[in-house]
Amino acid sequence: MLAFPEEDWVLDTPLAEQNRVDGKIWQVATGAQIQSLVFYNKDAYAAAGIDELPTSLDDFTADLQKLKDAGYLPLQTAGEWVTGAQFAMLANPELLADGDFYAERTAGDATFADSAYADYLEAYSGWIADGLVDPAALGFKYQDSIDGFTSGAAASYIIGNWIVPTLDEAATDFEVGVFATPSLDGSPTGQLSGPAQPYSIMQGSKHHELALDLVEYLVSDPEAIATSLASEGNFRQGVSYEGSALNTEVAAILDASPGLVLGTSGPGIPGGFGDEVNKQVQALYVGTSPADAAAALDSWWDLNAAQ
Amino acid sequence: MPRSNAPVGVGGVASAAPPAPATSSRRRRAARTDLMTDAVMIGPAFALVVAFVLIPIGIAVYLSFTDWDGFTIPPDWIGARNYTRLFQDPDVLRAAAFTAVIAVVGTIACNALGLGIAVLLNRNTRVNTVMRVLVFSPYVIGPIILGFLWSSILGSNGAINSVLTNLGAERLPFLADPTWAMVTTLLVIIWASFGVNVVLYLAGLQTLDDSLIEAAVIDGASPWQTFWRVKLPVLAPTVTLNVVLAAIGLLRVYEIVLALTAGGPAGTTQTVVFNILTTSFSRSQLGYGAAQSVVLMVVIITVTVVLTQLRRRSELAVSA
Repeated sequence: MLAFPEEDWVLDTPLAEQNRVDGKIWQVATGAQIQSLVFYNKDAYAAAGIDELPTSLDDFTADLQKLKDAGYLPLQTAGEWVTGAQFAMLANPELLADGDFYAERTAGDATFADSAYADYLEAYSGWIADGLVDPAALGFKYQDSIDGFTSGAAASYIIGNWIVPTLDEAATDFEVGVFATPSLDGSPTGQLSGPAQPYSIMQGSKHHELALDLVEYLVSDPEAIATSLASEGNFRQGVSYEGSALNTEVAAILDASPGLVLGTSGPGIPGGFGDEVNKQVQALYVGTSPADAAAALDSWWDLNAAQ
Repeated sequence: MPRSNAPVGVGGVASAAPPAPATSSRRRRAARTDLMTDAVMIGPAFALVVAFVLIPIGIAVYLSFTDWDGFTIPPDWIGARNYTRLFQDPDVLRAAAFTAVIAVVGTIACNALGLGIAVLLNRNTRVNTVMRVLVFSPYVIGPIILGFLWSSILGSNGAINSVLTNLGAERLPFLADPTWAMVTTLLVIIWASFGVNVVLYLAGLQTLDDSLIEAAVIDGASPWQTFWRVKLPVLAPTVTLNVVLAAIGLLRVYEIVLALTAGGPAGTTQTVVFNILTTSFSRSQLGYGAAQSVVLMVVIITVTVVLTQLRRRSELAVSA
């Protein structure tokens, strides 16, 4: 592939810095998939007496308890890949808030046991113990988790923005809202995101300049960006397009966010880390302590980062 | 006179005389023709075996000594590091233990069920014909579909748990609890696999010589004695085939696990092949995955040889 030039239109694309490989940018994205989102049942939250949406992990946990008391399943989760993905959506903005944790972990300057992951694993373990998530959640498929939320049985559902069209078309008998996943202290954090509608230029292309011009237009022209994002329901800070009310809410969350952060895959992250996070979060359901789960992540990283 | 009295083959003209040069040449030509025919007949199959079995195995063995990530060419040679690592890798050890349980319990269960049901369905009646189709159908449907089918039946939101919750009972954690999930996975694998054993045992039973059975009955043998002392020994080669095929198939089980549990909960139902594919493609550690594949191949060959040798005594008793 061809490395993109270090020009503003390249550097301004979503996740450009985070996705550098060998110091170069090989791919530019039109927008991003926003994933650190909590979709919620407004009726359930009202019934539980939650007037103000939670911004900190402690407040969120307290609200989940209120939802349980009000007769709802507080937080919808599932097995398969969903358990770990939801955890990363929740915890990664905090994990990566102060720089490149993954690089520090590889260098041996940081551990998961002493990171924000430990706090979120502790909280998650408490949710399981207190029945704030379904103890049989690991027997649910991804689709079951969607059905659980749209049926109204579950009050909250952590998932990425790709769920918006499904929720818009679900014709639920309650109104759906969305807020950013809670941080440790309630301050705004970034959004776990993946590059959306990205472009690369092949080295073998005969028309590098023309290709570069086309990509520059597609990822930097406001109208082209808005049209492209609207076609797939993706987002970019400062870009708006006509969409559903839920879409507009997600766009507002992104605009208020300090930035975008990586998930469990990408440059500098050993392949399969997402699977390991999934395994360790699922292990919480079957009796593993949060400390052991965090330690297992460290062991896994040590074993695989060197490969 | 003396020559005519000589025994044939000792001093006789016919045996002592060298073959005529023309005959020798014809034999050599015939041998060459036979060799060419053999080569032509065997050649395509041999070429296919070389291209699609031996060369891939050779590549896998080579890659197992590298750190190939699927992209970097050429991969770095790291000696036996992948092999020493896999014996310390908790994921590999856990997957190996679960696969061993599947292979041992599954082989016994598939053969016991296969033989038992084959005996029950051996008579050619309409009901038995339908039953044979039903018993074999899981094998035809395919493991992925079966995995999804059973997950929709046994999942936390599945058919059985929906009935239980509607009746006010507690849900059963078929796929949510590690022990339950392992047992569930094992049972579904057995259910999906034993149909082929039934068919093979039926084929064996259909070829039994009726006179043997009649002789046993005339001699006063009970049905159980007839089965145990007459039918089963005669079926020895079929038993060997079933045991070896079941063991090999169960050591390589993957698709049902993928569709049923996706290796969960918490990785407890991952099998060796599941782990090989995860390592190779999800983690991009194809060298390490190749090392696991090579070890699995050696295990399968060993199991096949050992089982075949163990069964040989029974087969020899039949042929005697």
